[in-house]
Amino acid sequence: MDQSLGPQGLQSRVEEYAEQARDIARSRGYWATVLHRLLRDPVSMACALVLLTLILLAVLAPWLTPYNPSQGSMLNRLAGIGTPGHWLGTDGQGRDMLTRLMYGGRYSLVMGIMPVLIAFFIGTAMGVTAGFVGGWANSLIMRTTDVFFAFPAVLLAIAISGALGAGFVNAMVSLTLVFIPPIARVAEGVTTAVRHLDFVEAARASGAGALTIIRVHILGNVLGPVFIYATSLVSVCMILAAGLSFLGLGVRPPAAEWGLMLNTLRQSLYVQPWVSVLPGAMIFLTSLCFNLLSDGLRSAMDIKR
Amino acid sequence: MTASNSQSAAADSVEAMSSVLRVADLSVTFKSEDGPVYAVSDVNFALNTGETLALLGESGCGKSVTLKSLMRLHPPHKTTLSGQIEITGDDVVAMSQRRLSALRGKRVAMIFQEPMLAFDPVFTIGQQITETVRRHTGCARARARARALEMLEMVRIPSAASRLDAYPHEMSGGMRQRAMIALALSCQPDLLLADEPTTALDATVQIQVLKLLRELQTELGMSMIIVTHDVGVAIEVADRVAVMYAGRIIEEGPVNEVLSTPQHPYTQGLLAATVHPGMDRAARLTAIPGAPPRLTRRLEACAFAPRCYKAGPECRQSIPRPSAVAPAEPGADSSQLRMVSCYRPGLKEDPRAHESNQ
Repeated sequence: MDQSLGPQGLQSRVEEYAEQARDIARSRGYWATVLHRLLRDPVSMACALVLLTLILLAVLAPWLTPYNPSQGSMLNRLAGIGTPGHWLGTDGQGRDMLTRLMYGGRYSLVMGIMPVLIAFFIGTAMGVTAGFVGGWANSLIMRTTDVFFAFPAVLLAIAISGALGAGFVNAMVSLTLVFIPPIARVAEGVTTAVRHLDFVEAARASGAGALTIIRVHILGNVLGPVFIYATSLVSVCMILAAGLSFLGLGVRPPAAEWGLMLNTLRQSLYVQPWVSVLPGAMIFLTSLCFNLLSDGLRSAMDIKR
Repeated sequence: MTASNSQSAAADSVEAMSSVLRVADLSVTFKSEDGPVYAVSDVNFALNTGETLALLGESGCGKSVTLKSLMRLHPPHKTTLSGQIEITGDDVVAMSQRRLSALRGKRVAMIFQEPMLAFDPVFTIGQQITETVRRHTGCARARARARALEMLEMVRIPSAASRLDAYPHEMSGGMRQRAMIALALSCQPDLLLADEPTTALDATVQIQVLKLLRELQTELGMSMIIVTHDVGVAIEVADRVAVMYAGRIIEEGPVNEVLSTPQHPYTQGLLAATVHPGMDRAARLTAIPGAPPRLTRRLEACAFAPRCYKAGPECRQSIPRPSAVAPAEPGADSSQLRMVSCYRPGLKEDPRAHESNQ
């Protein structure tokens, strides 16, 4: 055995490498460091892989499957899992389940992500304004959002969707409205906390104007936590979107959407239970992946640990 | 000169000299839920180029408030500022927000007490210095970054190049305060305001930072105001010292004179309550009886009278005006000016004397 690998030598080597590693980590930018940490987290990577697969399947569906998602065959109604030609079975109208699940991802993923994304921008703008301006602006914005908190998210989404009428766009609008208040509240909380910290005063003492302070110091500190919170809302949004479609307030038949598919297959639960739960399993898998990815992102962005 | 500030003898002499900073009859009042708080009242002082003034006093005496009002950093809707503040001839009180922003960080810079909190945690030290330099000089990013590196080397941060991309939490307290100094000096200010710059640091680092400040000040020829409650810090860096009590300057003068022959009973009490070299280890420090007044009322009499061992009837009737103490040597320049606001100034005979009287 090499002399340098004795306990003493090993220790010094370990320290040397730790030193080098720290230097490498420091030479990276913030987002590069976050990405690097995310890439080393197996759970996050597995989730990202699953989500990427789902997105690719949804996007490439027309080229991956020979079937039409809304064209059924009366001869092949409610085929079981493993039927040749229909590996995930068929639904009550003989439509291929695999095809419909792939196409369904198009609606479900968009309905899960888009409302949260739009609400992220609007809610952050509202929350930062309320938190930074304070006073009457804060009261106006935050008391308005409080009205929305009086109703459970599901009921609120149903009520707004019901008022606007069924449809894909209306469902998205109602979901966006549901998610603005919680995001605004988180943004306002973080902004209020950051606004009173010394470095904001230090920035003012260095000659920064209000807009520079908001753009650089407030947003720099607020976007991270709010973004993490928003990613955790994606799963909730997917479930709510599926719920709206299940109730007939979202996408309309014969379009394929996981929530809607769950509703139509409800009647076949006793005939083909495994086929019937497939859309639910997809919703579960996708929202689980978004949640775990959000957790991974949270720890990756917490650069002090 | 208006009638309102003619009462201050300090203001007269202040006007005569060419100074970096001139503060006349500065009063700062905060609005609070329990009514106004008279945080600073009728403060006068001036500062020459290259001079260091220490604002000395206990917590809540208005020293930090005075310092921050020099840059008008207090929230405007909660603060009433009256009097005059002139920085290199420009009136800060009447200045527009736009010109104020251009002044802050460029001609007047500030060092904060807690360097961990004064840096934005999500940006590197280099980014924050670069941002300030670009704000005031409008130079290219690469040029500003080079300037940031130059500044970090100037404040003697070891391996400055690698520290440029470090986040504030990756540095030690002393190093952060050095970086804070680098940030403050990056645009070559005429006046540096330091708000208890060493309070958050441990003793060995304190002296290093103070020495650094002193050296840089001489090197760059700037003026400095340092707020502290630590007599030792004042002795270390200041040329002159202004002792504050209850929002007023009660004694001012060259640091050696004020601290060796304090005229105001409060200054005497403050010094008696401080550990100093050569004191008897067994001796107990003398505390001033009582507590400072609340500043929610406008004071009608000497604020220190209720705690003063030699207060007389006149002390409880009106506020003593600042008056010149006999100059140490004739023909001394204005920076040697010594003021005290007391009806019964004079050296304390024996600290034990008044204790036995009580």
